[in-house]
Amino acid sequence: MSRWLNRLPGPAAVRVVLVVAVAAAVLALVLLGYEWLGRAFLDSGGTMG
Amino acid sequence: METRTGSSEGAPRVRRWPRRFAVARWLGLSLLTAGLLLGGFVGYQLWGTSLIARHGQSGLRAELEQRTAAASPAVIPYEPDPGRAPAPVAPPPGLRDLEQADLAAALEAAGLPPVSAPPEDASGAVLVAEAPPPEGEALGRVRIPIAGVDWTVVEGVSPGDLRRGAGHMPGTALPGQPGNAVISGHRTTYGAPFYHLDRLAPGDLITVTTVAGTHAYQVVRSMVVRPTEMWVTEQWQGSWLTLTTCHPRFSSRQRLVVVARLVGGPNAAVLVEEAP
Repeated sequence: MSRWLNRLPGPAAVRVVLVVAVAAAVLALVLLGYEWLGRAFLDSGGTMG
Repeated sequence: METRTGSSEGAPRVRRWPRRFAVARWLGLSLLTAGLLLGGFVGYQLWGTSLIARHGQSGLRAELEQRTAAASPAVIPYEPDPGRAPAPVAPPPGLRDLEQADLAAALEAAGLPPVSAPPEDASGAVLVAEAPPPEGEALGRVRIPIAGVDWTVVEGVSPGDLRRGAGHMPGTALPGQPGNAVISGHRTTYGAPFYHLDRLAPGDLITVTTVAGTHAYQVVRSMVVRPTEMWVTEQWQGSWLTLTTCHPRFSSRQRLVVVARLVGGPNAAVLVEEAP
């Protein structure tokens, strides 16, 4: 992990911000995927139509 | 794939792993990632969504209290809509009509609140009416102790609405009003408001409290239908409550539908007679 961090460009503070931004984006995408999967297959909310 | 080891000269020496280990390493990492994603999915659906629903419910409860305190339901003359058909769900044989005295005792025995009284000084057929709230706002409170249901109902059935609790389908009657009030809710996620809806049987009681008062319904029929069977949301003579949720549990393939008829509340005297 620290090896990946060191490979990123810019000063340490910028690298940390970059990692946090990418992690947040990945987490948001994963949660969106969970939402879609859950609604499509597990429980759509019970609505008609 | 490389490993650094110490050497007698002081400089690290690089040892390359055989290719078959590299494949095994990536396979292991992929399986580990897939397992974490799958575990995260289960955790999010079962517990994460429940936290979201709990937060939504606390907001809705506060909204409903404010709305109830501010509202002044209107008493309006009632004329039946001739365009509405009789309900296609007949009560099963043996399901007796509840007299008002029986209803009060049955509600108390079931742990439900008493129904609201009809308007005083009413001459002729009148209804206690209310306007639906904007979508996304609190509409009322549905209580079914036998199914563990005590949820604030939100107006609307969009995914965002149903994250906060059970939702009233816009365009259908409001609870306690003429027609068919349709309320949908999650079965297994977002707090699973209707997880035990399958426990309901003909004769069981449900109350829905709105700004117009507390209305009591008696379950007439429980059935499993396809999600496309929209007839369950049609508007019928009398006053009905239709609850819908996913079926079976952990699948959105079908719908479990519970249909109940109005038996008590401020508008029951007028609307019970209209239903065949």
